[in-house]
Amino acid sequence: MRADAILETRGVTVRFGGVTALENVDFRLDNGELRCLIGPNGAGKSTFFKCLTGLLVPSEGSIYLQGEDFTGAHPHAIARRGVGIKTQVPSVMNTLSASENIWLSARQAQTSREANRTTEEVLQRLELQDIATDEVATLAHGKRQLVELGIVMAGRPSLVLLDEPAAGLTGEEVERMVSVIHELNRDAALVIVEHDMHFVRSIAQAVTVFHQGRVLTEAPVEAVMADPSVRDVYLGKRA
Amino acid sequence: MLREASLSAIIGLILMLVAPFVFDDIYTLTVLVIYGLLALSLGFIWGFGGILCFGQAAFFGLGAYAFAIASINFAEPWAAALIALIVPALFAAALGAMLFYGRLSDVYLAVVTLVATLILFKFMNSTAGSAYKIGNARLGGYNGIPGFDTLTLPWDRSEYLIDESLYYFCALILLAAFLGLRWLLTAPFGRILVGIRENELRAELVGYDVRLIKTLAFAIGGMLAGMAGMLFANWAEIVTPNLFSLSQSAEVIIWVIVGGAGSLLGPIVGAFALGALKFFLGQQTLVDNLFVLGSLLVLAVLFLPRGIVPTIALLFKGRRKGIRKKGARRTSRRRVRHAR
Repeated sequence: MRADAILETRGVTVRFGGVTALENVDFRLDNGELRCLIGPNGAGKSTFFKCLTGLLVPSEGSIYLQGEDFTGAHPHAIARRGVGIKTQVPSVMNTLSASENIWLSARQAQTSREANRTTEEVLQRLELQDIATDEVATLAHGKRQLVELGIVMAGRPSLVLLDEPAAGLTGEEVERMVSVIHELNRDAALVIVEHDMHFVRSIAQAVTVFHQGRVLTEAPVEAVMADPSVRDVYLGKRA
Repeated sequence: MLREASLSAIIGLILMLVAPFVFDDIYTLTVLVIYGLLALSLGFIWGFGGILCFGQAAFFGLGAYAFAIASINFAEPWAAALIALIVPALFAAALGAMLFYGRLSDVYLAVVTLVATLILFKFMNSTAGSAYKIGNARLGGYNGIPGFDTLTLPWDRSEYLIDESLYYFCALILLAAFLGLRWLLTAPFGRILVGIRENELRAELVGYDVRLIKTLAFAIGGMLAGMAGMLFANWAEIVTPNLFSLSQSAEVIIWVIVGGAGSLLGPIVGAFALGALKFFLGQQTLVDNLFVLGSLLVLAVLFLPRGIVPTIALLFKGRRKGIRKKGARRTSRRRVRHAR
């Protein structure tokens, strides 16, 4: 494994009974890189994402974080290694306030005083001060997505895994999300699972395309858009 | 925060001092305080940790039995009291570790804890033979263990804690447990525990070992229930397998539901109210005790799903908000008039 790879998988395979959801996936992500994972439904993106987060243990293969084997590690151990995770449906603590949600994330690796400072900082960066004391359950979907990103940010991760961060957002919110992702990318490498190709174009440098549980291709976003095999299986002729 | 805690402590102390003058039956009052502590132990793990334990009576009974057995063997009631905290806490930690590291879901957790209690109940009932003894203490089967030394004043070993002195000791412990848990819930551990209750997956994804934190919370709840059991042994001066009974387990849950699981005060209020009612009903033969308790549970679930204390708190909160809104409206009207 090369020293500048923050994440690498070798031969990751996942089987559910007789069904192979992922087959022999080799993937690497360098420090500071931003990579989008795309592909049709059932291509294996989410299964791969779950393997990276520790929510699913691969049947075969290995996952390395900063050169260390983390295959089958518990999600909390992966998070402690500096991996921030945002799930598809905002996974937040509903009856707690936005600031309490962010504080709990910051407190994991910091003292209470430092966590207070980090919380203020994150609320400011995401412009969430107005809703800081609001119960998260009462917030709109877009704000909840931002609160979850705040939770991720507060952990000061070196690798961020985002599952469909633009899902269900309005045009204005998507723009905000793009700038937040670029901001995150200043300090961390990112892997983003996404369907929305406009969104992918606006954030990604490189894209990995999944198809039928395998990596179909891996290339810069424009090259992928022009790739006939990708157009065939995913984008369609008019893309 | 400190002001609120001091206020709670002062109110608690006043209630504790006034209660014996309001209720002249100090014996019943003492056991209500003990029930309050037992309910508080479940209120903490259920209301704040989201762990519905059907077997809080197991820790309660273990605390009582551990005290009786240690007191007979060591003839040192204060050392026995310490053992009565350690044994249930360790048992809860072991059981909790098995449940949480084993990734058992909520329903299974409730079933396993209930079964653990019933096993202890069955086992203790079948220990009548002379072979069942720990050191000098015979377990005594369904007759239980009588005749052990109870707590004395630490500075005068001939002065037993009994009647008023036992009441004040139990009330002080309840107050200390209440304030201790209040503090714990505002400390990072408590805040993380509430976060886990809200979203276990999110807590894991930010790096908390949910299994460990839940096991610790479960052990704290077990220790508090054991403490209640130890006090019960001192109050009753006998321990019997009934401490592990199904009705004991069910009653604690009813107290917590009726009082309100989402607060620390709720379970204590529930235990006091329903415990007092149980004693009152026990003095008559017209209506069955369990029938009344069961009916109250159904009514509470239907009409007060949050429980007594959280509902009252919500009403006050709503009223305060209403008053504040009215005040704000008046101020803005005055401003408008002033501007004109």
